[in-house]
Amino acid sequence: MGDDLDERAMLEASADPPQVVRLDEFLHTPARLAILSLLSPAESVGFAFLRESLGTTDSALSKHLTQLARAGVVRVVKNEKDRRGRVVELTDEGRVAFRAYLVELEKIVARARGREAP
Amino acid sequence: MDHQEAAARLQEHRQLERTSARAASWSIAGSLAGLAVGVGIVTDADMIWLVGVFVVLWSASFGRSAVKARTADADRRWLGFFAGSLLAAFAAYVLVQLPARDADWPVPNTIGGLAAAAVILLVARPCYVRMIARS
Repeated sequence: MGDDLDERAMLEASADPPQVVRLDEFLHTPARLAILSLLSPAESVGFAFLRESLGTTDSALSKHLTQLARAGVVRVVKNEKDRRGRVVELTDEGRVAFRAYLVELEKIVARARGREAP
Repeated sequence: MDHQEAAARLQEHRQLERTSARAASWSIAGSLAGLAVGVGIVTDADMIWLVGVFVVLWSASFGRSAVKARTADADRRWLGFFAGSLLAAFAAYVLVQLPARDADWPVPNTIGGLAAAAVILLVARPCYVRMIARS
């Protein structure tokens, strides 16, 4: 029952138009960063794979995915091969935002290294 | 955020990206290795028509992967290495058969297929991981 509600919320959030959010702050949450890192080299990732890789529960993962989907960062869709399963995809906007976030992290590290260099 | 936290986040990102890429790589490398051995077996058994069945099984197993790799942004250098490793697997398939045939072993194509599978799993798969996990 709870899972059905979670699934409905995720799928509805995926269908809603993306809202404007401050992505830097939004992506900074460790759980969201972990989800996006798993999604970044993939076209799509199975829900179960995400859950097992993150060592989390269905409901906790659904909650994060719903928030990410509402922000237009990810899309949750039914698995074409297995109608019972769901797969998660990064949207184009989400991919761009995540890359920008990683570039910012790299700049912070590079600046610190520049300061430490003799 | 200080640089240590940023570095820790980047490190975590790289580890998880590799986790995802490895899952995708096992799917393609496992199915390609299975295909290579399968082709060897059916060739030795004089049942070439079964190759079609293997290709269907291969595409079905590949499609059911938990992680579908994104190759649109593939690292070009590692794409080259991956393509080269597949050529090396084909070369292994052919070249390993020569001593097997000289020695009159009963299943030279299967032995060639096993050699190709080894190259795919040991060389092509890591190249594939580096190709799709860009950071």
